[in-house]
Amino acid sequence: MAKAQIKMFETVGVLVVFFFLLVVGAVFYFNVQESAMEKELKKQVLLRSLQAAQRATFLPELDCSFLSVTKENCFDLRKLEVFPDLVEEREQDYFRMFGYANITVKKVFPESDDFYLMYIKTLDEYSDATKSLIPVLLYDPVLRTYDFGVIEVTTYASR
Amino acid sequence: MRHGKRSQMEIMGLAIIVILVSIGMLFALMWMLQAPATKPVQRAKESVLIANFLNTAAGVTTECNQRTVRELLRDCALTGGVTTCLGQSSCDYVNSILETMFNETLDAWGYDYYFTVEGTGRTSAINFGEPCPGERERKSAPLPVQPGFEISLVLELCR
Repeated sequence: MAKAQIKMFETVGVLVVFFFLLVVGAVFYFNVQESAMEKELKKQVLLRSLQAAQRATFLPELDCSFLSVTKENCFDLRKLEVFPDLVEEREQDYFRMFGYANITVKKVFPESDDFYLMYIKTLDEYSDATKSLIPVLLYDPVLRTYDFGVIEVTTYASR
Repeated sequence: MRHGKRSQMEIMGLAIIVILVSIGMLFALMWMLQAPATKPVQRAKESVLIANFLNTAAGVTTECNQRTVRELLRDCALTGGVTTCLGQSSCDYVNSILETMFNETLDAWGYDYYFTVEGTGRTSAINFGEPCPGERERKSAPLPVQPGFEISLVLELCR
């Protein structure tokens, strides 16, 4: 084999190795980018879920107020029962506040199956859904008792 | 002389490849060791969860003369459970109520946690879960019993 041919093979070999490393690097880089984007999306959904849960717990429409003094972290059960009607009336306002989310309240103590639907706006096709659970007091103004409830907020995200 | 120069060039090429591969591996290592982007949001979520849990649990009305958990804990801390609630001492009664709350919430949601009432030995029996071995999110809710005497409800969520 001529010396020139050997040199050419050597050059081709170096180029093959170089492009192999380049392709491996590019694949790794794009995987990292994709993974970082997925993480960011997950973070945003989680953040939105937490924000929606916080907004829901501080809704003045549901607060337990006594002579203009508002009790923190508390829902009035009578107000909660009629809240879906209010949502229906002012759908756009609540959509701006919560977006695509499902918000429900469950009574936990005393043990019960009582369940209240607050806001339901499910996304038909979604890539990610995150749930936030926040304990709240449920005030019964008739019996004047406080029960242990949990507000469950599920937010949806699409790509 | 020409051979010497050629081998020097080859060594130089090898060194460049080694440096490039090392940089690539360093990036890969950094990416793998990077904390998840969702961690701060997850922490905020846990912080809200346990703060609300303490606040909610303490405010719940019980069947013991319509007293709240907060009042029963005060009674337990002050008298060691002199008040009788449905045939039990206030300490035992509030213990069983808190147990139900934990079973229905943090246990059901799969969290590892540790709850204690600090400030007096009388409430030492009221504790749930196991102490967190590592990183944790901790919240404490002070509960004044009488001037100069305060107990604290402490809840830790293990990570």
